[in-house]
This record gives sequence, structure tokens and C-alpha cells, in this order.
Amino acid sequence: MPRVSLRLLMLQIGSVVLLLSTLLLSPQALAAGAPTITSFTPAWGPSGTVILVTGTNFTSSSVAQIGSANVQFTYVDPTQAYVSFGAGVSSGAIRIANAVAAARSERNFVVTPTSAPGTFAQPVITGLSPNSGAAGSVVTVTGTGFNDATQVWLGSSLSVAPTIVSSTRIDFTVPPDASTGRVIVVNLQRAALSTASFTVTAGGGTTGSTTGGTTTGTTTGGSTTGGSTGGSTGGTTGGTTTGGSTTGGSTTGGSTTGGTTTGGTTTGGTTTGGTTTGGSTTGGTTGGSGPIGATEAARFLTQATFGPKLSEINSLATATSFDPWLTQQRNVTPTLQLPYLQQREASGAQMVQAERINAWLQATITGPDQLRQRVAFALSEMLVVSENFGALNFDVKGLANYYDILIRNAFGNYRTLLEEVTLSPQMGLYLSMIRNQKPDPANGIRSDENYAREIMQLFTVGLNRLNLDGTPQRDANGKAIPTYNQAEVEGLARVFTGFGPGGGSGSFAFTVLDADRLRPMSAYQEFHDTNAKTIIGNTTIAAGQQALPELRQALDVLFNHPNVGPFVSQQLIRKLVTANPSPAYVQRVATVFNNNGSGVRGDLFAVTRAILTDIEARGGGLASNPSTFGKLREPVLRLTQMWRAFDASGAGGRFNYDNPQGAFIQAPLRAPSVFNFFRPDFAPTGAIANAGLVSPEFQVTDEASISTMINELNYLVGRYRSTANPQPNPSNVVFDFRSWETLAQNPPAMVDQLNLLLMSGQMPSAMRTELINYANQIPLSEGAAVRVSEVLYLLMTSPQYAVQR
Amino acid sequence: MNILKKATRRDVLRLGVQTAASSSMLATLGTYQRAMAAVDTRGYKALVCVFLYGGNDGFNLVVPRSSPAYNTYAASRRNLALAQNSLLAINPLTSDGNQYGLHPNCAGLQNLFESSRMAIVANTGTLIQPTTPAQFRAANVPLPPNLFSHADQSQQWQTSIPNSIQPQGWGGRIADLLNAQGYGNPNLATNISLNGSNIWQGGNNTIFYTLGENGAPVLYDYQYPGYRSGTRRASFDRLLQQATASTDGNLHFREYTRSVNRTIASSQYVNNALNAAPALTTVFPSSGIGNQLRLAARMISARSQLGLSRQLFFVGLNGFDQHDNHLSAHGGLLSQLSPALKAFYDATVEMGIQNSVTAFTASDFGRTLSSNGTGSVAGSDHGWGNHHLVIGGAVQGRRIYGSMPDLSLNGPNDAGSGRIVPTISTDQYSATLARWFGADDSDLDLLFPNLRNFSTRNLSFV
Repeated sequence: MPRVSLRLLMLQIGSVVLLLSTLLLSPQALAAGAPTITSFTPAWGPSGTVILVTGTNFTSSSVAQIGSANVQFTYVDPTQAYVSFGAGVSSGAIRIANAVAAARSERNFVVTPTSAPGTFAQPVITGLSPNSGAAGSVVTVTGTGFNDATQVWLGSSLSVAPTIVSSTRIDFTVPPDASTGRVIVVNLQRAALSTASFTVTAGGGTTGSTTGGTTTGTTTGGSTTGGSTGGSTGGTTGGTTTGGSTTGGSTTGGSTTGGTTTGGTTTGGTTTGGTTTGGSTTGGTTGGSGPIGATEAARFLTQATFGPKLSEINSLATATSFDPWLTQQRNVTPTLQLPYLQQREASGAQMVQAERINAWLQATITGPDQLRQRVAFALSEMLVVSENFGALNFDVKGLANYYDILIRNAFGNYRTLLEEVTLSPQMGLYLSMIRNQKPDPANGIRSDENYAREIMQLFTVGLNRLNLDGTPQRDANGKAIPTYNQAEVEGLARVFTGFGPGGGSGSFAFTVLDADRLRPMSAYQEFHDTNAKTIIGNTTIAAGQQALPELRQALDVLFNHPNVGPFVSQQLIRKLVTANPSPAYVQRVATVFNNNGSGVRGDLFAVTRAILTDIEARGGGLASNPSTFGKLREPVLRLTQMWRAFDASGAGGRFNYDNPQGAFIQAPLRAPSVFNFFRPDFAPTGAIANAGLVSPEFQVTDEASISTMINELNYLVGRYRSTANPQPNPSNVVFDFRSWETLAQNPPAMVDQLNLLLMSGQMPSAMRTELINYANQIPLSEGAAVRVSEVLYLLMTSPQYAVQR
Repeated sequence: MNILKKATRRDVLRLGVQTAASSSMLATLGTYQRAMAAVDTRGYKALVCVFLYGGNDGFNLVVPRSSPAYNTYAASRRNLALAQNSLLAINPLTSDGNQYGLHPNCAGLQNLFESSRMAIVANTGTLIQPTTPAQFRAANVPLPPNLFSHADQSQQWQTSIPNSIQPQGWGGRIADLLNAQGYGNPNLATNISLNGSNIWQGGNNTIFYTLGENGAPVLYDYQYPGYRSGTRRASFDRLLQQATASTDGNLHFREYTRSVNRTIASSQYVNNALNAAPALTTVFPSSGIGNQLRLAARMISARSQLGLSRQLFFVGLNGFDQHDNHLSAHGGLLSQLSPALKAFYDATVEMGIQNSVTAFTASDFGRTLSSNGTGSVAGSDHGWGNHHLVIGGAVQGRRIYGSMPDLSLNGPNDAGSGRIVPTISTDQYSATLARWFGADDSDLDLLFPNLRNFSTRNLSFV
């Protein structure tokens, strides 16, 4: 197959006809199923833009359209292709057809008149060094135009956290699941493809599952899963703890792959016998290799996304493992906020915070990168900056850029994330690290302790030393052991000195300019304290260092503190799965944080996978601890779940719902303080506190907020698109009830569908009966949509719905 | 009135002890009838906690204005110092030889102080026992855990139990006792929060009731019970009944079900009472804290309609964690706080109930005297001891209680960098308030377990 240079494509050399005539001879053109499109990037651009499309069953003979116009199609492999277009093409869905069938993108590609202001250099790859290596090895890419690069792919595998060394050099790590292929460097608008292939040699995959005890799952990213889930299920923990010794331990755990289905389903099968947990029984009876089942798929998607859609439930229900979905989610192109805002600004939109909320709602309701967005949202509640702060009130693009840091690094490395967050001017302003300077004894000035304290207390280690399982260590007198003391706070405060605006004015003390708000803070050595410091764990930072290397050294110390694994893991579990994870669960996830199976610490994708595929998440916790398992649904996730379930939309793809926090308490980057909307250890007075448990969301759940939310739901469910009224007020976000009109004629089936989508099939039977009875009281003469909306209201406002479990 | 009768001591002894999980609603047991039969509104009292979140800089709220004390202050604070001639003079009846003034944005507070309606309680903070800077540095006395941490210090302020397993607030524990003695009301909690969740009002059995700034929103189906001929309301109620009667023991589910029940039970009751209560003419500033205090005043105005003879209110103001831009941001917050507190006091005068309502400030901690930057990034860091305010007709005002600390860096009160070691404990401060509210001396040790470590049990400011 000929190799097509992107640069050539940009010059519009190589017409579709020419490519087809040569490629028709290649074997890829012959056998393939119906194509699908999972994502494309960029989402917008002027003529000349090259679009990277990912999906399945692309062939060298495929053809492409945008809207109704034929455009250029360049085949890369069955899962990737490039589409580019010239003048005269208008916005529309991307359509790719092969000999069998055609696929259409879920979202439109938006054709813009110009690329300003978000103009990104065309990257060009000129060399790879080395040109072969095992997973985990580092490869240097040379070329040009790398300043704005956001991703490096090896074939269809995304490399986490590539390092942009300069505009001409990027280093990336060969992903654990990569196979031989060409290297792609992507910025927000354009991509470059290497001419040469990089050859993946053996050795990378086989290191996979040290913790798992078995060496399955080597190729398809099963290495980490094998490590976490296989380890817990098939290995020591699962076998002994969950009593799954017969099925869970020996038979399935190690042998198939990853043991993802195995874990959950084994417990479901043996312990509960399928009485309550419905979905997981299916898997249980077939020993874990059977299909996941609809209710378990819905339950998983409720933990992993902003709410399941029917199509996603159906697709996952027939799978036998969560791995392909997880891998697909890892690889799908991130939906970023800043590029969208820049596009809006270019088209004349005022940069108000509502634009940022709109971008977030679009991504969370319609974005393909659901898991990444969900993890990013969780991170935004841990690494908090907030619009509710003078210096950030009007910093719309800066906050979008901060959120993009979380999105980009959601599957990256926690150490990288920590550094980007630390150097972000938004964090600098929020926790007053920007323009923090060395002590000035003559003027009685110390270094600011704010960031030093909170990065330890909230972002990395917490107040007290933890065991690997997240429980506090105790001294001989049974007291908790502090992780750091005041002198170490003061030492770290002096490390974080000398960081100022990112170069706009070149002045440390000058006002933070707009341009500075989109760049990491810069080091100003003359304001940096170069004395020696003592930081956490009585660690000495040597005198005489430059600001940035010293900051990195301190971040390394924090990142490698043994608390970080359990501290971060426990918080992420609380956000995604359950408020009170067992210590064993925390330990299994923290173990993956400490080592993803390939010797890498802080791999957030591996951590996310470990959380979601753990036996406790997949049915074990629900079966063995029904009285504590689960969590009160985060308020704003109720909104997104509902809107996703009913394909809500607004005119032009916009979601004009500017203040979600008004009724749903939360909105991205709008917490009242660095302690988030609610603290991870909050316990409401009464039974939960008395049992020594937590339920964080109750910190914002009170009479006032319950009433406000219920009343807003009453209002929202009345805004919908129906057959009778297909185009309601375009400035609103509206549900689409059109596909429910047949179902509404059959109340039991309608309620069952609502149950699956919104309650993962966990609706008590008395409630089901009540909702069916109520539906029957709404005459169809009023319209099927009225019936759906009325029942939806009752479901969404019920206590039965309120807990995710 | 002794709010801690012998019969209830057994309950009190459970404070701070992890008890077996019990979902019993003690607050609504057995005492309904008494409470409803004869509510003693003549003996009405209300306590209002004004929480200044983030750590208010009390050393810029009450400032020495005479030399040489001002010079010492200015030398420590440097670019955080207020100008000497900007301070609003106060003339306390107590004297330590220095003259003092209030922050220039606190004219309302100045008026309250000078008219004897406000007291200043000096250098107050979390302590286990009396502690000197030398003892702090040597760490040879028990210290409150996690000093200088927002979450922990604000919790200790509100619980007075530094090592508690469960964060029970002392306001909540008082309400436990009041409820056990028949002061409760099955329709409404004794504790009302105007600022959402807080620790101070949560007791062993007491749940507090949260009002929005505009009162209690009523559920749509209750406001419009005729919607769809009442069929949806009926279904809503049946679903809630199913949840309430469910054998599903999931704790999150049970707690949420309780919350929804409480919401419905209280909201109409509160709104009816507010609508029937005498209107207030006192004008409150339109700010978050102004709105909260205005609603607290309206709830006091509705005390008869609400059938409550004891009320504890919680209001809050955020934003005091000024690591940057300190002078301007702090001044802005005080210009919201001062007129709101003045209006609240005026409203109690309008109601003729000023001698039965006491408001007091609380905050995470004080701040460092020393500065952490220059120009607009000049700020302060987390400190310890702090000055606090108590306001009301019953207050022995125009006095400063305790000792104003020496403000020199590395001076006799400094733990380092101008973190001033408190000389009054939060237990002494809170116990004085609880005593006024009705707690008996012998019972204060149960409410404030470390009070016994301090010789002065009653600061007598109220």
C-alpha cells in the first residue's frame, strides 16, 4: 500500500480517483464489514483541514462525503483514515462508505471560513528514533510544527502524556497495547503521519500482569486489566475474599481475559443467585464468558459515563468483556473546550462563562469521549479551581484551558497532570502561587503557604499517613500520624517561589495579561528562593537550584509519597462507584496506581480501568454490602443522565442552560471553595455518621436544594420535541421523545425502558406498578410525549432513583 | 433554665462516643405532645452563629490605634497594616492601657460596640489546654490536631471536640437536649441553617433544617395540588411512602428518603408561619449575608407561629482566606458583614426581643500577622488565635474580654511568623454562650469536654 504523506495531502496532490485506482488492488479493499465512525478530529476547520477519522472497517476503497459533497479520503488502516476537503464544502456529517455499507458520524463537522484565531501549525514528521522498540520504551519524533501538538498515536494506540520537547521534537512512550504502525502527531486542527512505520518488538506486552499472577491479556491492553481484575479475581484476593473460590478463582479469573466480567458476575451468580441484581446473573451462570447483559451494561455505563444511552447499553450488553469499550474510550479523540470557545469567539460570540458551561454540556451530553469526560469531571472536583473567585470571574478561556488540562490528562499520568495543574495560571491565581516570591526579611515578607499546603492536603497526600488500603496509620497510642508539619509547609512554600505570568509581559510583577492566561506560568529566577529547603518526609531540597527543576523535584517527592496511590484512588472510587469502598478495593486500585503492571506509577487510565472492572464495582459490593454500597447521585449527573437518555439537544448543537448549579448545585469549575461542592469525607448527621461512613453528596443535599431540584425537574420535563411539536423553542434544551411514541402506548414496556436507562433495572416492583398506573391515567389523546414526561418526572424525583448502586 | 436535666445526662455521656448505628428519631419521640401543648415563648432565646469561612483576619478587625501598640502592629503587618488614622475609634470600658479601633468599613459594628450591644472576645482559638508558644514549639502539651488546616479547624470550632469520631456540633448537641426536654417541634427542627450544610448544628439525633435565602421553596405538586386533578401528587406521595416503608436498608437511600420527607413536612409549615408573622420594617443590606440574617430575623418574628421557644441559627460568609489581595478583599467582606449585623440587631429591637437574641462570630482561625507578598499579591496565611464578636441586648458590651496579644513577631504570643497562640479557648467562648442559652455549669463539661482544663469557665460577656 502506498504511503501517503499528509503534507502532500495538504497540497492537494493525490486525488481520490488516483488513490482509488492504486488502492483498489490492495487486499484491504476486499473483505470488510459495515463501517462505523467513532470519532473525528478536529471538530471544525476551514477548507484545507485534514480530518482524522477513527472507526472500524475502513478499506482502501472507501469513499467519503461531508454533508452531500464528495471529499478526499485517505486510507490509513481499518480503523483510521483521513478526510480532507477543498472550497465549496459546507458543514455536515462525515460519511464513509465501503463496498458493504455506509457510516455516518454522530456529529457534524463544522466548516469555518478561516482558521483564525485558533490557527495551528501543520505538523510534519521527518524522523523517528529509534524506529523499533518494546512497549514502554521512549521514542523521539523529529519534525516541525510540534508546538501545539496534543496527541501522539502509534497506529491506533494513543500514547499517554507525550513530551513536547520543542517545536521540532516530541518524545513519546510506546503504549502497552501498541502494535507496529505509523506514528501520528495531532494538534487541535491538523495531523502528521510518519512515512516510516515504527516496529513494536516483543517484550512490552509480556510484562503485563505481574500482579495478576497470570500472564493473560498481553496484547489488547489486557495487561493492566489482567493485573487489577485478574489479580483480584483469579489471583489471591478474589479467590479468598469473595468466596468465589470455585468459579471466580480458578476457572475463569485467570484464564479468559482480564476477568472483568468474571469478577462481577461470579459474585452475582453465586451469592445473590440473581434475585436482585438481575443483569449480573446472566454472566454468572455462564461463568463469566457470557454476555454482560443489559442491566449490568447500564449499571457500568452509569458509573463510567454521564449516563447511558440505549444504543450504548445494547452494544455493551452483548459484549463479553468491558475491555473493548474501555480501549475504545481511551482512544477516542478528546473533546476539548478551548478550541470550541475560540471558534465561537471568532464567530463573534462574547466570551462569557456561559459559553464554557455550554461547551461542557455539549461534551458531556453528546461527546463520544464519555469516560474521559467523566474522569475529567471527577478530577475537576479534586484539583479545584473556581470561577467564583475575583481573578477568575471573567477568565472564560483560561478556565476552559484548565479544564482541558484535566481532559487531556484524564488517561495520562498523575505526575504530568500535577505539573500542568501546578503551573496553570488559573491554579496560580486561585491558590496564590503566581508571583509568590522568596522571603524578603527586610520587608517582613514570607513566602505564601497557600499552594504548598493545599497541594499536599488536597491534591496528593492528605493530612495523615495512610496504609495502601486507604485506612489511616496509627502510632503506638492509636493516634493518626500527620504526613507533614508546619515547617515542611514553609519549606515547600519557598519551593513554589518565582513563578509569574507566562511571558506576555515578561514581567514577574505585571498584571496577568489575557495571553498569559493560556500559557503555563514562567519561572523568574530572581524571585525564586535558592536556599535549601526541607519538605515533606524531612526531604532536603538542595540550595542553589533553578526554579523549574526544583519545582519538578518537589513534585516528584510528593508524587512518590506512598499516600498518593490510596489517597487519589479512594477519591476517584467515591466519584465513580461507591462512597464507602472496602479497604481491599482501595488497595487493589492503589496497587495499580503504584504500578500499572508495566512499572509505571500514576497511570490514570489503568487506575480508571481498575476502579470500573474491580469485583466490588461489578456486583461484588452490591451483593455483599447492600446497605452501604453505592452513592447518592451527584446532582448535576442527574441532569446529564436524563438529557443523554432522551437525546436532548438545542438548536445548533448548543446547550443553553447557563446555570446548572442553580437547581443541580454543581457546574464545572464553579465550586464555592477549593474544598469543592462537597468534601469527600462528609457524613450527614444520623445513621451514616453513626456508622462511621461517609456520603459526600449529602453536604449539598438539604431541604432547600431538594425542593429546588424537584421543581426544576418539573419544569424541564415539559420541554421536549414530539411528533406533534418537532421544533419547540430553539433556544431551549429539549428532550427528544419522538422515538418513545410507540413505547408510550405500552406503559409496562415504557416503564421498563425508563428503568433500564435511568435505574439500571433496579426499580422496585411496587414503584414499577405505581408508574404504570400513573401512565395509564394520562390519556394518549394528550400526546404520547406527555405521558413519557409525566412518568419521567415521578421517576427522577423519587428517592428510589436517588442512589447509584 | 437548666436545659440539661438529670434524665438526659445519659444521652449527653454518649457525646463523642461512637454509638451503635441507630436511625431512631429521638428528636421526635415522646415529646411532641408536651411541645405542642405549651410552648413557652416568653422564655424565648435564640443563638445565631455567624461563621466567617476561610479564617477572618481579626487582627485587622480590632486594631490598636494608640502608639506604641500601633507601631508594633504596623511593624509586624507591614504591607497588611491599616492606616492608623483610618481606624474607627472605640472606647471600651475595659482598659489595658492601649486604645483600640475597628476596621474602617465597620461603622455599624462601631455603633453596636459603643452603645454596649457588642463585646470583643480577644485572641480566641482552638486549644486542648492552656498553651504557651514555648510549649507549642516543644510540642510537650496536647495540641488540637491539624492546626492551620481549614477543614479541621473549622470543624473543631463547631464541635469543641477536637478528636471526635463523629462531627457533632455543639449547637446540635444542645438541640438534642432541648428536644429531649420538650422544646422540640415535630414540624420543624430547633436548628435552622440559612447557609446550607454546617457542622455546628448537627447533633447526635438532631437534624437541622435548611432554608434558602428566600425561604422554604414548596414542591410544585404541593403548591398546585390540583395539577392533573391531584393524580400526580398522589403518585408522588405513594412513591415516597413506598420508599419510607421499604425494607431496603441502603443507608444512602434511607437518608435521602428522610430528607425528602423532612422537606415536605417543613416547607409549607415554615411558609405559612412566615406569611402569618408580623412584617419587619428594618432594612437589610442586599447581600448574601444580609439576606441570610434577614430571613433569620423573619424566623424569629414567626416564633409563635412556628411554635418554637428556642432557636439556633447558622449563617455564613465565604471568602476570608485571603492569601492574596488581602487588604482590599478583607475590606470588601467587612463592608458586607458590618451593616448586616447592625441591621440584624436593629430588627431584634424592632421586635422587642433584642435581649433574647445573641449573635456571635466563629471562623476557621486567625491569620498570620506577617505578610506573604508584595503589591496585589500581599496576603496572609493560616494562623490560630483570633478576635471574635458577640452581639445582642444581653451582651455585657463595650468591653474587650481576655488579653489583647502582643503583636510583635517572635514576641511572647507568637508561635512563629505571627501565628498568635490563643489565650482563650473556643470551649470557654462557646460554653459562655451555651450557659446564657440555658446550660447548667455542671453540664458544660459534658458539652465541652476540654473545658475542665481551663480555670475560667465563664467569660461573662453575656
